[in-house]
Amino acid sequence: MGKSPLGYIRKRSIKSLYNPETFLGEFNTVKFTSVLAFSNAVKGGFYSPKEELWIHIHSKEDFNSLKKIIEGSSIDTMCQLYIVIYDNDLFKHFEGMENRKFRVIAADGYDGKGYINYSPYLKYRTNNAIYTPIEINYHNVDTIFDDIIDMFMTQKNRLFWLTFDYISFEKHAKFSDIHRLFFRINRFISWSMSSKDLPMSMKRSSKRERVHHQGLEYQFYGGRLTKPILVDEELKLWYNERHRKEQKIPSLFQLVSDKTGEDIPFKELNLIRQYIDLPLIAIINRLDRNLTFIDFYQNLLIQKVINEVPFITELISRWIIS
Amino acid sequence: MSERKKVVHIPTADLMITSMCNFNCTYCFEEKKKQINMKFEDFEPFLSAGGTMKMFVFGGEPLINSEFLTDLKRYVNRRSDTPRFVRQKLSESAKVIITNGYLIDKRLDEILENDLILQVSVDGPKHVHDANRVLKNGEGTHEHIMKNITDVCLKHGIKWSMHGVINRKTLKHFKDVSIWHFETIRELKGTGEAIQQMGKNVFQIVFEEEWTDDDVDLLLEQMHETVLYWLKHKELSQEEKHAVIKNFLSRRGGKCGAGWGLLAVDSNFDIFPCHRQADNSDFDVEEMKMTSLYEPENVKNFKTYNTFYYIGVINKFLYGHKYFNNEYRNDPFYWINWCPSTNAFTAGNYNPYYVSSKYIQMFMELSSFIHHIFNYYKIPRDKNGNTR
Repeated sequence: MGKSPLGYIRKRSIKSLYNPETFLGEFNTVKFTSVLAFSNAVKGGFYSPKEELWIHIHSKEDFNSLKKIIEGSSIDTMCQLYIVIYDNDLFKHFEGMENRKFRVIAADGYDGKGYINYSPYLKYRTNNAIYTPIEINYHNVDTIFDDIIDMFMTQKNRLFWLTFDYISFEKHAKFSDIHRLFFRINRFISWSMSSKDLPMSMKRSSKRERVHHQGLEYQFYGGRLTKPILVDEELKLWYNERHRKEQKIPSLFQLVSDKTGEDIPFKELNLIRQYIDLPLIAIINRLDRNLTFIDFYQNLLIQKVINEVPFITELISRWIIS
Repeated sequence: MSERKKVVHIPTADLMITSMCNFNCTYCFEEKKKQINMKFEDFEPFLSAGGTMKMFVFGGEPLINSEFLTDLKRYVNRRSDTPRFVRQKLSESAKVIITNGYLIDKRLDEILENDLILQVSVDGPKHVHDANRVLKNGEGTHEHIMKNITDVCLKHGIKWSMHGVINRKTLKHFKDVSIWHFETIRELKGTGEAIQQMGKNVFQIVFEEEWTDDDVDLLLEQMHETVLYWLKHKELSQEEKHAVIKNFLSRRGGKCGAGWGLLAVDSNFDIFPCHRQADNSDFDVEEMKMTSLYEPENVKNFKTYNTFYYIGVINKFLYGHKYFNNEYRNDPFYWINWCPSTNAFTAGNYNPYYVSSKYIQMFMELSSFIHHIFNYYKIPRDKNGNTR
C-alpha cells in the first residue's frame, strides 16, 4: 500500500482477504478429516489452535499419531478437542488418556460397549464423553425417537449428537408429514421417567458411578452456533462431511501458500469469504433459539444461499427447544 | 371480444425491447445475447390482459426498436375500454430509456412523438469514453453522441441526462471523468443542476473487477484531487464549492426493486429478476428464469425470487467483508452500490446477499477516507453532524 493523501492511514487491504497463516483462524471450529489432514495443515503453516478442533481417526495408526500430537502439546487445553472414531474397538485405547480433555464421537454409531471414564450425569461427567450420533431423516422419523428412548434406557452412554437431514424432509414430506413430525418431536421431548417407574436394575447405582437415580429426563445442550469448516488431506475446504461425500457442489476453497487476496480471482475468493463473513446475527434474529441445528451446507442446497434458514430447519429447531 | 390470454402479472416490467446494439463496448455483459427485436403485436396480449401498470425500457440499444414505443403509445391511445387511470399510467411508462445516444438524430421523430426522456450513457471525456464505448468497427463514438446532445436534444427540448461507468482500466481518469461531467452539465444546464447531479448516479464504479491495493490508493488519490479541483475553482462561490463536494462525497447507492417489484422481460418474453440476468451467459439462465410471460402455470425457481423479495421487501441486509467491517457499522457508507444481481454474479454461487469482498474492501476504505476529507477540509455538516 502506498502513501495516502492528507496523512490518511489506510485501515484495510485487499491482500489481507487471504492470508495463508491466519485463514483457517477465521473459523472457530476446524474439523480435519484425518490425522494426516491435520498434520498437512500444521506442516503447511495453515493451522493455529482454535476454539474447537475436530479430528477424525480411522485406525489404530491414526490413533497413535494423534496420541503423539496430543501428548507432545497442550492442544487439548488450548481448544475443545473432538475426536471422531470410525471403529468402536478404538475405545479401549483411550483408557490410558484419562487426564487429557477431549470428547469422542462414534461416527458409525455407538455399540454401547466401550466407554471412557464415563458417567451419565453432568456433575460427575469428565471431559472425555462419548457421543452417539443420530441422524433423523424423513425415512426413519417414525422409529428413531423410540429407538433413542430405548438406547437411553439400555445403554450406559446416554449422550446423543442429533443431526437432521432437512433435505429428505424438503424432498419427500407432505403437509400431513409435518404434522406427523410435530407429533413425534413433541412426544419425544416430553418423555421422561420418574424414579418409581425406573426398572430395578437402573435404580441400583453401580459402585463405579456412585449416583442415585432421581428419574430420567432429557436435557438439550444447544450451545452456540458456530461456522465449522472441514479440511481434507488435499487441504480442500468443505462445509461438512456430507458436503465432501456428496460433492453436489464443489469444495469451497483450496488452501495455498504464497498467495494473497489480490492473487485469488474474486469469484473464488467470494465463495469462501461469504461463509466467513456471514454475520450470525442475521440468523440468530430469525431463529432466536436453538441454533446448533442449522447446517449451512443444507441451507445452501435447499435455499440456494447459506444465510437463509429453510422453513423445515426453523420448525424443527423451535419444536425441539420449546 | 376475443378471449384474454393468461399472463404473469408483473408490478413493474423492465422490458428488453431489443437485444440488438450498434456498439461493441469492451465491458459489455450483453454481447452474447441473441439478436432479437420484441414485436409489439406479440406483446399486446400481455397489456390487454392487464399484465402490468408500469414499464421501463432497456436493450440492447432501445432506439433500434423505437417502433415498439410508437406502437405502444398508439395502443394506449386507442384502448377506450381501458380505465382512464390505467391508460394514463401506461402512457407515462416506458418513457425513460437508457440509450447510448448514437441514434438520437436518426430517431428524432419517434423521440419527439413519444416524449421520451433519454438517459444517455457517456463515460466521460473523449479519451475515456472512446477507450471502451466504440462502434462495431472500433470507431469512437464520443463526438457524435455529444453532438446529438448539444445540437439535437437542446434544440428540440428533449429531456436528457448523462450516466457512465468507470472500470479498472479507466480508474486512473477518475478525476477527469468527475470534472468532465460537472463542467459539461454546468455548461449545458447551469451550475445549480451540475451541483445536484454530482450527488446522483452520474457515473459509477463497477463491482466485477479484480481490484488491488494499488487501485485503492489510486482511487483515494483521484478522489482527493477531484475535491481539490472544486476547492480551487475560481468561478464557484464558497457555498457552491461546499455543496458540490458534499453532494459528490456523500453519494450513496440506491435501493433496487429487482426480483420483487420489478421483473425483467427479455425479447423472448422470458422473465428474470433483473435485466442484468436476462439471457446472460454469465448466469445459469435456467436457475434465474421464472417463466415465459404467457405461461403463468409454469412458474419456477420460487426460492430465487423469494430471496430477491426478502432483500427488497423485508429489508434483509446485504453483507460483505465481516459485515462491512464492524467498526463502521454505525457510520454511513458512501459510494457503495446496492445491486443484488451483480452480487449474484460476483459471489461465485449466485448469492445475491454477498457484496464482493474486493469491492467492499475498496469502498469501505473510500468511505472512511471521505469521512477524513470532511474533517480535514472542515466541510460543513448539518446540525446533526450528517454530511448531507
